[in-house]
Amino acid sequence: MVINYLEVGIFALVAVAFVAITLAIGSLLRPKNPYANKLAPYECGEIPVGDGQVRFHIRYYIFALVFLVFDVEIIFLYPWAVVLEQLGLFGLVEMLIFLGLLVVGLVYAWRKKVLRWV
Amino acid sequence: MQLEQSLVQWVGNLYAAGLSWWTSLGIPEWVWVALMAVLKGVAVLTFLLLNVLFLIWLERKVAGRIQRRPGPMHHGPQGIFQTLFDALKLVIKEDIIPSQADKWVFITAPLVMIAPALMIWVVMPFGPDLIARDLNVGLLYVSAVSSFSILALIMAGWSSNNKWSTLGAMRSAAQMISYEIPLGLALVAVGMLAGTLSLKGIVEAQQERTWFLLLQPLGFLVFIVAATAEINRAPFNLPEAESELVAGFNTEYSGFRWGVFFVAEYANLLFMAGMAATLFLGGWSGPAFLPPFLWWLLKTYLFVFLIMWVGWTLPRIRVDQLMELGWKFLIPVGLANIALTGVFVILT
Amino acid sequence: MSLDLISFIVLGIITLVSGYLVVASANLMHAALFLGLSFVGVAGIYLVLGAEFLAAAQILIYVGAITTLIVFGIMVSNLQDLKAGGRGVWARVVRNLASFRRGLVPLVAAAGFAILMLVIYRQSLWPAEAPPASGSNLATVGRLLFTEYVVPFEIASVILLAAVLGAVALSRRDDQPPAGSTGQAAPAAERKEGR
Repeated sequence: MVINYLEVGIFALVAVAFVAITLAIGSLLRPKNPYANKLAPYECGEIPVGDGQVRFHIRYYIFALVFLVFDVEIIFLYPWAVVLEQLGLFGLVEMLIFLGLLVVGLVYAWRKKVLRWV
Repeated sequence: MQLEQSLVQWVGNLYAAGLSWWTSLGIPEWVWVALMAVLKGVAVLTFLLLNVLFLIWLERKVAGRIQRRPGPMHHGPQGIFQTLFDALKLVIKEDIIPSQADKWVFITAPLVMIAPALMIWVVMPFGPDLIARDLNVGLLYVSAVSSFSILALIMAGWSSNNKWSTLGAMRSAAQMISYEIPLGLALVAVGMLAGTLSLKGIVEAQQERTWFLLLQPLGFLVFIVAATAEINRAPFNLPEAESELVAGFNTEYSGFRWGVFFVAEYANLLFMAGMAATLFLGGWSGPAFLPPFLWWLLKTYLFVFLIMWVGWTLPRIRVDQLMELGWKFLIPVGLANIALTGVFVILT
Repeated sequence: MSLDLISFIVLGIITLVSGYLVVASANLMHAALFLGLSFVGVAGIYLVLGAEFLAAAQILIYVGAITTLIVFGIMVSNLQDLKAGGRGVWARVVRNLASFRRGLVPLVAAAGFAILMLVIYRQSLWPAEAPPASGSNLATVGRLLFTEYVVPFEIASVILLAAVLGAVALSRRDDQPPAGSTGQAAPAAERKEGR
C-alpha cells in the first residue's frame, strides 16, 4: 500500500536535498559579512517601529472558519464524483440536498454581509 | 512519435529487468522502487528547473513585448541565458537571516514551499506511460498537496518578523483559502465527468469522448480564474503588490533562499498550466504526427502564455474585489456547475 | 523489515515528537506548526493502513484548513504576553523532562497508557490480515457513504450549516452601534485593527 506512495515522500526528500546541497555549495562561494544594520528588519530604510508580527483584523478568522466548512463539503464531493454514475438519480438528489443546505448558509452569510471584506 | 514510444518501452523493460534482478538478490522490492523514485524525482526536478529558467525568460519577454520594449537582450540570442546567470548570481549572494527573525521557522519555510511544489508533479501524466505514479486519488492528491503552500507562506511571513512580510503572508493566505474552494469545485466536476480521479483516467476519458473544455466551459472558467489566484499571479498578485507591500511574504529573504520561493512559484505556474491542459484539453493525446510528450508541452505552454498575457494586460484588482469575486461569483458558479454536470452525467 | 513497519515507525516518531512539542512549545505559533506536522504524520499512518481517502482528507482538512484556522486565530489575538521565552524550545524540553512534575509524571502516565493499550491489543481478537485494498478505496467509501450511511451524511450537512451560522453570528458587526456605548476609544481601536 505504502509502496504506491513512496514517490510522494521521496520527491519531498529530493526537493529538500536540492535546497540543502545548493545552499552548501553556495556557502563556499558566497560572502558573509553580517552587521547589525544589515540584519535589522526592512522598513523602507527607517528604524523599525514595534514588532513585525502585527495583530490582524478578525475577518481573517471568519473567512478561515467559512473556508473550513466548505473544505469539509468538498471532501465529500470527491468520493461522490467517482460513484455518481452507479448511484444514478438517487445519488444526485442526495448531493443536491447536501449542497442546498450549504448554499443556504452561504446566502445567509452573504445577506449578513460577512462575505464583504471591507 | 515512434521514437518516444519505443524509448518509454525500453525504459519500462529496463525497469522490469532491473526489478527482477534486484529481487533475485534477496533485497525487498521496495528498495528498488525507492531508488527508482529518487531517479524519477531528480529527473522531474531537472525538468522543472530547466522550465523555470525558460519561464522566467519567457515572462520577461512577453511582458516586454506587451509593453513595447524588447526585454532581456544581452547574454545569448534574445537574452536566453539571462535567467541562467541570474540563478548563478543568486547562489553566490550573501545569505542573510535577520536578527529579529524566528530562525528555524525562517529556514524551514522555503523547504515547506519547494517540497509540495515537487511532490505535486508525482501525478502529472506527461505521456501515456510517462508518469511518476498514477494515484487513483489523483485530483484529491493535487488539492491536498497544494494546501501545504498556505502554511509555507505564513511560516515565511510570520518568521521574518517584518510588517510587510506578515501583511503579505496573511493576505496570501486569505486569498489562497478563498480560491481553493472554487478550484476544488472545478476539479470535482471534471472527476464527475470522467468517473475517476486518476489523471491518467481523465485523459483516457477525454480520448473516448471529447475535450472536457467543450463539456465543461463553466468549470474551465472557474478553474482557470481560481488557479491564477491560487498561484498568486497577476491580476491576483496582491500579496506581492510591489507598490504597496515591497515584496510581500519574502521581503526578508535574500540569495538562494529567496530563489527557492521564486522556483516554487514558477513550478506551480507550470503545474497549473499543465493541469489545465490535462483536465480540459486532453493532456498528452493528440494527432500522431507529434509525440505525446510534445503535445502535453505544447498545450501547457499555451496556458502558460494565456496566464502571462492576462497578467500583463489587466490591472491588479483590489482586495475587496478579490474576495467578492471568489465568494460571490466563483463559488456559486462552481456549485451550479456541479449540479449541471450531475444532471448531465445522469442523463448520458 | 518490511516497508510498512519502517514507515509506521518513522511516522509514529514524527507524530509523537511533534505532538509533544505542541504542548512543550512556549511560542504559540511554534505549537500550531508542530500540530500541523503531527497531522501530517497521522495522515501518513492512514496511508500505511491503506486508507488513501482518509489520508487525503486529513491533509486537506486538518493541515490545510484547521492549522490555517489556528494560525489565523493566533494572528488576530494579542500575542505580546505569549511570546515571552519564545525561543529555545529544546532547552525547555530538556528542563521539562528533568523536572519531576512536568517530566516524570506524564512519562509514567504515558507509559501506563501504552502498557494498557498493549494488553488490550494482545487480548482482543483482531482480523488476521487487513482487508485487501480493492484498488479503488475511494469508490468503496463513496458507495458506502451514499447508500448505507446516507442519513449521517445528510446530518453532516446540517452540522456544517450550523457551523456557517455560528461563524456569521461570531462576526456580526453592528451596523448601528448602540448610542453612547462606544465613545472615544472606538476609532482608535478600529484604526489599529484595520489592517
